[in-house]
Amino acid sequence: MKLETYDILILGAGHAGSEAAHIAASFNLRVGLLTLPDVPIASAPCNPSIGGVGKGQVVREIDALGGIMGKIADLSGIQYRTLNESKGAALQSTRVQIDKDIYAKKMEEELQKVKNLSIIRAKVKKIHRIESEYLIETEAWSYRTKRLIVTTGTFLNGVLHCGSEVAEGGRIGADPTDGLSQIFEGIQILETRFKTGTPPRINKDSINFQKLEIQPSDDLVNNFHWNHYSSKNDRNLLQVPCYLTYTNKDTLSIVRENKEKSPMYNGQIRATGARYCPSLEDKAYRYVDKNIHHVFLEPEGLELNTYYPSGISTSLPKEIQQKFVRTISGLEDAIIEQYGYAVEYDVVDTTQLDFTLQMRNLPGLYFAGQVNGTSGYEEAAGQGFIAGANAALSLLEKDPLILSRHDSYIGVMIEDLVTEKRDEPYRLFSARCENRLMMREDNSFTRMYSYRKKMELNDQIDHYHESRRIEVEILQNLIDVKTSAGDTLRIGEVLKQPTLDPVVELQKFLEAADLNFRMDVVREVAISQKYAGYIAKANVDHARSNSKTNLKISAINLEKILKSNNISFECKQRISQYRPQTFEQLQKIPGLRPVTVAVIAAERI
Amino acid sequence: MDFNELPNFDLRHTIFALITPPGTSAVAVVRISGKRANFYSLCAYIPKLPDCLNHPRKSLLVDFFKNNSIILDNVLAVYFPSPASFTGEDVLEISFHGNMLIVEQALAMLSCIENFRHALPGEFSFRAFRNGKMDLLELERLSIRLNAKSETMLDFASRLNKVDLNEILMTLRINSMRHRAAIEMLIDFSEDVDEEHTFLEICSTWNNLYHALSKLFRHNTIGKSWFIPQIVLFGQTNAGKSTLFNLLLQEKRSIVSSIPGTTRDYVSQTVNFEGETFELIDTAGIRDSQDIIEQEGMDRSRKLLEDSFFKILVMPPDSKNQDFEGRKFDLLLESFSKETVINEKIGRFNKDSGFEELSFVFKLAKRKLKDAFSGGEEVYLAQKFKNILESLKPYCHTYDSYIKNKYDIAILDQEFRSIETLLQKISADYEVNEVMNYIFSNFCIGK
Repeated sequence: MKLETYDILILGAGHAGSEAAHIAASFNLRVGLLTLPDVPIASAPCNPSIGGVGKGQVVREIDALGGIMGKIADLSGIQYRTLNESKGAALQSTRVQIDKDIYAKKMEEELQKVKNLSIIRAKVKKIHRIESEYLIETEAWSYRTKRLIVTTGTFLNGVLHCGSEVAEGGRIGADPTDGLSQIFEGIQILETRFKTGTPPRINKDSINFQKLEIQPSDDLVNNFHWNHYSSKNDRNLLQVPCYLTYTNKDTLSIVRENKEKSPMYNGQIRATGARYCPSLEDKAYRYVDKNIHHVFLEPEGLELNTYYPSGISTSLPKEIQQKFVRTISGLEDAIIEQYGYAVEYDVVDTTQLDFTLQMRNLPGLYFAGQVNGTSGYEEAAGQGFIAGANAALSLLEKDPLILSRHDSYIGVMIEDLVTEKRDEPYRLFSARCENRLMMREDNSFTRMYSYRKKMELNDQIDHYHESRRIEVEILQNLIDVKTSAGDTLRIGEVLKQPTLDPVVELQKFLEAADLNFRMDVVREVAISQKYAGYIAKANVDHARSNSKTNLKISAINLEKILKSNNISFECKQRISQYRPQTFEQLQKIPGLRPVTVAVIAAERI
Repeated sequence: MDFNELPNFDLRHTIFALITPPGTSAVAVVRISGKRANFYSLCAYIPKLPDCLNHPRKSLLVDFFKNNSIILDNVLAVYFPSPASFTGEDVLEISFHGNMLIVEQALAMLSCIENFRHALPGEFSFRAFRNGKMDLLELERLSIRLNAKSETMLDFASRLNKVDLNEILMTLRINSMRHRAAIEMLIDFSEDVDEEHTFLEICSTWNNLYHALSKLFRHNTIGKSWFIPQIVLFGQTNAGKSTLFNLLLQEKRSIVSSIPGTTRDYVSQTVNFEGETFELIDTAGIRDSQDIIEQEGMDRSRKLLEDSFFKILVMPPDSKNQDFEGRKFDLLLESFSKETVINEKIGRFNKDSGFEELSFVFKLAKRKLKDAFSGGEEVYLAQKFKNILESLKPYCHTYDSYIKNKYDIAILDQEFRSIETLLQKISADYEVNEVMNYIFSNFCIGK
C-alpha cells in the first residue's frame, strides 16, 4: 500500500475542516485535507446563510484572525442584513444569504491556491495510533501524520429519517461512514446521540411570490472580509431578496393529525435535537395554541432553482410534507425538489478535550465542528480555526492559541464546550457572554489583534492589523480633544448621549474638521465611546471578581486537588470529569459544593 | 459581623476557643475545629485521643496531660466528624473542670501546636456559614439567640420565620430571572418572537420584580440596638436630663449641676425592668458651643439618638411643646413640674419624683418593644438584607425610568446587571442555561 506523510491531516472538508486546513497550512507545514469523494467542500446542507446574532461576531473574529469564512461568504453573498438594527449599535450582527454552490466552489478554489495544502478525496477505513503519530488507511493509500484533526460533522454513524424511511449516512446523497468507535478505538462519545433536521426545498417556479412579504438586501451592511471593506459596500454578486410567509391553522392541523407518523414522536428517533431550532413537529406538539409561525423563503443560489423555507424543518413522510407545505400562503402549488429529513449522529464528549480542542488522553488528535455537538457553520469554522492553528503551533513547539471568554465569542464557545457536557446541540447566543457590549462586530480587529500577533505569521492581514490599530488610536485620541469653537460639549461627551447615533455624530464631527478616517474605524471608535462607561464597569467587575480570590485566572493543580483529603469523593469525581485548568473554570463546575471551592481557594491548590 | 465582606479568616488553621463563659463554673468547654488529620498533634496532651476520633459523637473520659507525667485535668472529649458538626468541619469539644486556671493553661498549650490558633470572634459561625451549615437568616437567628437580653427578643428569635423570607427571596429570584429572559429574548431571538410582544414582556416582568422589591423596601430590620433596647434622654442643655437619669436609676450617677453642658459625653447604665433589659442613656445637651469636646459630645448624642429605640425628649418647664430639632420622640417629659401627669406621649417629673411614679417610662418602652415584635405578618429583615435593599433602591429607580423611556437594550442589559449583582447577594444565583431553559420552554424560538 502506498504511503504519504503529512504534518497535519484534517478529516472532513466542511466548514471546520476548511478553516483548520487553511490556517494550518499558513504555518508552512505539510497539510492534507481528506474528504469523501462525493461531497462538495464546505457545503451548506441546511440554511443557506452565514452569520446572525452572535454568529456574525464569530465570522468577524475568524476574519480578523486570518481565517477565510468571511471572505468566502462575501464572494458568494446574495443578500446582506443587519440583525437587531433597531436596538442600538452594540448588539447588531451581520447575516449573509449565500449562494451555496458558489460558496462551495469558491472555498475549493481558495483552498487549492494555498501552498502546502493537498486535498485528498477518499473514504477512511481505519485509523491507527503509532507511537505519537497517526496512520489513516483508505482504499488505495495510507497517510501518516503527526497531528490529526477530526471534523466529520454528522457523518459519524449518521442515520437519516424521512417518515418511516431510514437510511445510513451523514447527509442526503452521501455515503455513510462508520462510527468513530469503529474506525478509532478509545474515543469517548456521548451516550446520547444528537439530531438535527432540515426542511423540504421548494421549486422556485412553483412559488407565488405575489403573496409573500419581501425582505430586500441592505446596502448599508459592511462586508465580512476586511479586504472587501469599502465605503459603498460593493458586493460581488447580484443581490436578491428573501420572502416571508406564515404557517396557519391548516398547516399545523395536518402536522398534529399525523403525530404517530413523525419519527421524532413515534420513537423512531431517540436522539436529542436543539430546542432553539425546533422542527415543525416540535412547534405543533409543544405549542398547541400557536398556529402562526414565520416561514422565511431563502434563495439557495442565483442559478439554483430551489428555495429554503426556514422554519418548517421536518422528518414527516413525504406525502404529509407535500400536504402541509401547500397550505401555506404563496406555496399553494409548491413542488418539493428535496424532502425534509432528520439526521441522528454520534457526538464526541468535549469535556475530554483541552482548550486547544486536543483530546487529553490522545495527544496530537483534535476535534472540531459539529462532531463536537455544536450547530451552525460559524461555530464549526471557529473551532476549526482554533484546532488548525493549535495543531500547527504545537508542532512548532510554540505557545498555544487560547482565546479568552472575556474578549471573544470563540473563547466563550470553546470554554463552554470543554468544561460542560452537552445535552443538546450547542449554539452561541449573545446571552452566553458576560461582556457583550465589548464583544462587538465592529471592534473584532482590535479584539483579535494580540491573538493574531501571537501566531507570529507575516501576511497581508498582519500589515492591515498594524495600520488599522494606529488609525483607531489616532481617532481615539482625537475625540478627547475639545470640539471646534463655540461648542461647549466635547465630542467624546456628545457620542455618549443616549438618544444620538454615535456613528452619525462622529462622522459629522470629522467632516466638519475635514478629517478622513476609514468607515469601519469611525464606527468602532464611535460605538466604543458610546458604551465606554458600561464597558469599563464590566471590566472593573471582572477585575474585582478576579482579585477577590486573586487566583481566578491562575492555574490550579489538578493532581493535588484530586489527592487532597479535604475534598469529597463526589467532588473529586466531578472535578476530574471536567478537568478545569483555572480557578474560574473550577467555580463553574455544576454541583460542586461551595466548601470545596473555598477549600481549594484557601489551600491554594 | 458582615458576611458580605468575607473577613480574612485563614481556613487552613485549626481554631479553638472557650465556648462557655469565662469564670468559675462546673464545666468549661473548649471547641477545636479543623481537620481530623491535624487533631493528632493533640495526642501529646491527650494520649487517648485516637479512641475519641474512632468513636464519633461519644463522650469519653480522658486525661489531659500538662507534660509527660503531670495531668492537668481529666476531661470529657467528644469528636464530631465533618460534616455533621457545628462548623461543618471536624470538631473536637473538650469539657474541662470550670476553673479558669486550668482553662487558661490548656488554651496556652493548644496555641503552641503548629497551625493551631485561637478563634477570632465569630469565626466558628463564619466557618459554619462558609460550609453551608447555616444560611444568613439562621445566622441572624443564632445571633439573636446568643445576644438576646430580653424575653421578647428570645421569643422573637424563635418566631423569625425562615419560610416567609425564603418565599420572598424565591419570588425575587424568579421575577429577576424572567426579566433577564425577556432581555435575552429581545437580543438573541428578535426574529423569532414579535418585538413588540417581547418589549411588553420586558415591561411586565420588570414591574413584577419592582413591585416585589418595593414591598420589601418597606420592611423593618432588626437593628443592633434592639438586642438591648436603648432609652435615650435628649434635649437642650440644662433641661434636667441627668436629674431624670438619676431618678430612673435611683442613684446619683450623672454629675448634676446647674451649669449648662455638665454632661459632655454620654453616660449609660443597664436597667432591668420586669424581665426586659434596657440601656438608659443620658446624652450631652444640644446647644451652640465653641467647646470642641462639648461639640464632640453633641455629635455623639445625635448619632445615638438616630440609632436608639426609645427616645425621651426632656424639656424645661418654660419652653413650648415642640418637636425638638425636628426629631421624633416617643415621650416628652417636662422637667421640674410639680405634678407627674401622664398621657401617651407627654409627662412631667420633678426632682422629688419617686421610681414608682416614673416607672411608666419603662412601661411605655416595654410596650413599644412588644408592639414592634408582634406585628402580625410583618417580615423582619436582617441588617445585611436591609443594606443590600437600600443600595438597590437608587438602581431600581433609575432602571425603572430607563425602561419607561425605552432605552437602548444594550444599556438596559447593563443596568439590569447591576441590579442582578446586588440581588444575587441575597437570593440564589441563576445561570444562563436556566434563563435559556425558561425561554425555550415558554416561547416558540427557532426558525
